[in-house]
Amino acid sequence: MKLDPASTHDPVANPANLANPASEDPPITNELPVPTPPHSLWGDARRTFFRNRMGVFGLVVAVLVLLIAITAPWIAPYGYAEQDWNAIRQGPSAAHWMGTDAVGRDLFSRVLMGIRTAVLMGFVVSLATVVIGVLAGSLGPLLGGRVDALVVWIMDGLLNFPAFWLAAFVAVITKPAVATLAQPMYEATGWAMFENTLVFDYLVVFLCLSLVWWAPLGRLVRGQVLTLREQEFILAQRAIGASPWWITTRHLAPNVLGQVIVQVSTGIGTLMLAESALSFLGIGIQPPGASLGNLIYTGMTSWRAEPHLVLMPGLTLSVIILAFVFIGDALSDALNPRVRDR
Amino acid sequence: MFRYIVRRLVLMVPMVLFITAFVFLLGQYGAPDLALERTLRLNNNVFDQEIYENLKLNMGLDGSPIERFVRFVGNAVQGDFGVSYSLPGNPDVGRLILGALPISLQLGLAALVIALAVGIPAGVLAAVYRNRPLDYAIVTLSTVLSSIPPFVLGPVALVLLVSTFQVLPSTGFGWHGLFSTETLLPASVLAAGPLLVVLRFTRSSVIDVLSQDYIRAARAKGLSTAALVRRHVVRNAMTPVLSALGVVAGFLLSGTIFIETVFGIRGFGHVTVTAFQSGDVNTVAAATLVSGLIAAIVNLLTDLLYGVLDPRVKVSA
Amino acid sequence: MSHSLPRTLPALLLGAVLSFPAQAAEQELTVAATFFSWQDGGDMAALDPARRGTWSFHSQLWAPLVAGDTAGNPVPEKSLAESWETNEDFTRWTFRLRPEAKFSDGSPIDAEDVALNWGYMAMMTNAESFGFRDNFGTARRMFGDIKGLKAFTETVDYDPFGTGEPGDFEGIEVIDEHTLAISFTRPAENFLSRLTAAFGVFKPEDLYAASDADYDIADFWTSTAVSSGPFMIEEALAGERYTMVPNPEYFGPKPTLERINVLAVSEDPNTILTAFANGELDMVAFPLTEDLARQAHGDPALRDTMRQQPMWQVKQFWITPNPPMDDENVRRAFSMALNREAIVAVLNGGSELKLMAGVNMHRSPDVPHCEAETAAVEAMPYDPEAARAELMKSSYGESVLDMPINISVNNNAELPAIEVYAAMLQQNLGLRKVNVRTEKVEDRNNPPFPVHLHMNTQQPWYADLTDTLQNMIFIIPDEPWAEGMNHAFTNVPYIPELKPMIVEAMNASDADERCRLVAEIGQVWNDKVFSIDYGVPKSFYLVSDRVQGDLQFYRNAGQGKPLNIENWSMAD
Repeated sequence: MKLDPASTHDPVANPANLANPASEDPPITNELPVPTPPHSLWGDARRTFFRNRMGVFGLVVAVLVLLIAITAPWIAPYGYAEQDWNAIRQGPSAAHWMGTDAVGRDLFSRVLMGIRTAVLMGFVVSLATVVIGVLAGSLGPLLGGRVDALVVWIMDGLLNFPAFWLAAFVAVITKPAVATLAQPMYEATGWAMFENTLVFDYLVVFLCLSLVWWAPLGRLVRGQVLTLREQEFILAQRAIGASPWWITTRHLAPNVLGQVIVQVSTGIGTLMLAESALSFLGIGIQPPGASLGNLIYTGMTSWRAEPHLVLMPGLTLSVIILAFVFIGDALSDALNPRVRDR
Repeated sequence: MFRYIVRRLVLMVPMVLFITAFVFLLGQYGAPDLALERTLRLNNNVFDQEIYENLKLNMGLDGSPIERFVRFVGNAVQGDFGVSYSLPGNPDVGRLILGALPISLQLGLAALVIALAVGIPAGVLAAVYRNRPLDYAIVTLSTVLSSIPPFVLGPVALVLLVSTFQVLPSTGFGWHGLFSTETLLPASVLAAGPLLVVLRFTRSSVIDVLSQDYIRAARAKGLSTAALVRRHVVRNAMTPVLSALGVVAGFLLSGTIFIETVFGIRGFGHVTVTAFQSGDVNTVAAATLVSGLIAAIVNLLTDLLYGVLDPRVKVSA
Repeated sequence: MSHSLPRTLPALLLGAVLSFPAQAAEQELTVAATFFSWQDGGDMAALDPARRGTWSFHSQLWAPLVAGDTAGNPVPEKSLAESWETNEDFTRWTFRLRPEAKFSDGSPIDAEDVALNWGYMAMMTNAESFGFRDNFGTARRMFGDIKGLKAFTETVDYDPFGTGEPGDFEGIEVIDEHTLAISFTRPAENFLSRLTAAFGVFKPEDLYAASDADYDIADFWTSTAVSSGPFMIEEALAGERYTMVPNPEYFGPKPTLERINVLAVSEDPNTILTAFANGELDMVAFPLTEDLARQAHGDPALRDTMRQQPMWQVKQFWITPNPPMDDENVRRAFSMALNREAIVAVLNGGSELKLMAGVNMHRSPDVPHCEAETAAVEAMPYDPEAARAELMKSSYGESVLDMPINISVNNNAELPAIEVYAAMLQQNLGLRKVNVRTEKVEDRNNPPFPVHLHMNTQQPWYADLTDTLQNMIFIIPDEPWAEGMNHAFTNVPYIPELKPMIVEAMNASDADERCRLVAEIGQVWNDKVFSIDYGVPKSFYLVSDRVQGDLQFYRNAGQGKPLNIENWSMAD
């Protein structure tokens, strides 16, 4: 009996269905069954995903966030560093939709910039972790031998260690080093960006997070690759002499991609939280740069008197994280081939 | 089994050392020159080579970074982590960490218990009522709670529970022991992140189990949902959850930093944070080593548990 | 205001009667003494006074040779010395100790003990913590003129972790069991005033134990503390808390309180305020951070418990010799570009509470120093046009607008001030590359980036003249700053006329003459602009009405003057 994905044929929730299976069968005829249109994994996944309301909500928010991130400098009513000394610590009003902070900067503009930072953080670091993780995870088992052992060793080391802790250590330690490097770099290249302290705030945070966060993904990929590699179609590829690179990009990666996407989308939320935690330790993006984490942290010292300073960025951060978590959940439901009964 | 444990332990050592070396050596480039600072402080801001050399020798800051690291490891094996040069009175680092560690471990344990006790049942419920309002509610609530940074959740919860709603009696500075009421709040706030992880792992693994054929067979036999869950689902779904314990341990270890700062608990996280904010190389190195060891041991235990609980997984050398 | 016995006793009794109408006999206080931070030393880390500067309730535990009130006047009934006299030119002071004085373990306190206390304070192992070798050390500044003491600290072989013998110098003489004489290298008319800010008297055996290289700070003073003051330690947990109970062997008036719990509290303002509002804390005995103060003031329940103290510090931006700041015109321009009223308004803004007063308000009038002269020294006027013109006159010309200017701060709580100043510099001077740097600069001699301005909270140069002049001597260079020289970033540019003026002021015999010279120095300092003062912060404390005037404590070792609750005004 073929299970129609559209039915609520859930054996646990609706045991009645088990009792009357025949009611779902089409009547017996002489007609040939109509061939159903081809169901690809992606097609199925897409359909399932869009049926999940929370996932759709998450996607909408994510797209909105991305748009805001791109257009932030233009849609913000004030500059994010613009101080208005006549409007200190004001609550939300018509002139300042989210109120102002301790030196009179418009909170709404800063939150918009913060969204931009969060997106940068989430996407850039995720991209980096995907690149490193997929490469490490797939090349290891394919190349085998010493290389594999080394990769496993490094990955295990990183996995054994609490990720945030290590990221914090690395950040604390590299910050002065990067700051020291900035001056000679500027003299060597003449690029103005080396004189901007905000640039190396970002650099340090990206670096330390990417360096540490790729390990779980790498392990996942490696696990998948190990399973897949023994399968026939890969053996066939090797038999015809395809290079490991070809095998990785053309055959292994697409199969692993589903899981990777799920991991990444839920990971974005964790990354944003990690950045806010780094701000707490004084290592993340520093003022006047605006990141949601650092806005929250600065606002925490006076939240009882001025709750808007924490609520606004805090709610924004929570909504963004929630959105990505829902996307991740919906994706994992959609891409999981075993869970077919809907 | 025994050989497996030994092999893992042996492998663990170079891993931990590698991480510690990484942090230690990187730290040499960023750390302030404490010997120089002290020389100037002691000598009216005039640099004196002899005093400087003497101090370096006394403080163990002479030699190249590699030499210093080797010396550090050599001493660490004997239990001597040196003294902290940035804390007043220069306390012995080993004692400092040894005094703070049990507190953090207890706090982490309490949080773990809360995360498991709330997360597993909630995950099972969410899986059984998948895609229904209850599922959405559970997942949303736990996601919201864990998406609030711990240094926000702590103070907000504290103020709400102690002064606004007066549910808890006191703020309780310091550590009052594992079973005191004051520990409830910090442990709960610490448990928020791990709770989500446990919940989601449980949910997805229970969903997986529920779609298995033997469940349908049990259903056909006429088993009620509750009995089904009790007898078949939970045990089989637990194994992946255990593998999540490694991740959970990581959350707990890093979470203690914030919780301890907010609630004023004199624990390991607080010691570490102070150490790296003041460039205290000895304590940072010792803390890295210790946290690496703890994390590795926890992972080992988790793997062993996994092997014990799931007979299909053969834990072999 | 002096604490002579006849006046305070009825007040105390009355206070005690009135404030505890229907309560149990036990009058217990819980006081938050400091933030919970591993780095904060003082009596939280160990009760050893030589270990660090913050002595919250040190004066409750150890009686000084001569006790003082907030004005520096001696209070005999709380002093170990029952009488004292001096010779004609104030070079020799003789103290007669109370024969009945005892430590809390019953052993008598005699002159030998007091002498050994002085010898201990000069010892190598504790010297640096206590300040004998330290540049800005309290003891060196305050007692450097005792015969033989300074020489002793300079000649002893350097051994930071060894156990030295206590110093034995000619200035301290034990005449008999209850008589001690101290001699000076030059007239010391204000010695009593200085003495009232000094350490209490400890049992020498305890001090020697502390100098042992093997001792661990966590062990010490938790159970072996022997007191000489009104209270003694009941129990202590290093880093967290200690409890004081009345000392039965104390020679002075018996305290009304039966127990005082002293705690270190978490840095989170919410926890502190909640605990205070909940009644778990009776007093917050350290100056509140600005956010804490603002929040407490905004809460009607807490507002009435806030007390304030005038601070003897200024908020300032230190200027370093890094280019372009090495140019006098640039420094002057920077000072004129700061709108002090605006910055104080911003920092006070959004709240009724005035956290900061404008600059040039200095210490309370009851301290005999040169107010008239120092008040005449004014900060640079705020004049953006003149500032711009001044900037262009510098040797850097137009190129100064593109030079990076880094303003550094070690404490994130000060960020608003820095950001406002950075904005003012950009607006008023047209500078294009002003950066706010929050990286901690641990190694001042080798900061990771060139520091041009550094945010600082410091005693103003006119606060305590002998101290400040001594300090200035150390920090003013003898030659121009040259590339490659090892300079801490708070060093000042080379101003040739300054050092001779300072030396002259220090050696001035006449107080008026000294004041005149100090005012001149101040003017030069200001004109050549080494630091830009912008405000005088106030300190606020939270004191519930369960606390009475019984409590006396020091805010920090550098100040040296005790703070009394009775003297505190309400927060305005």
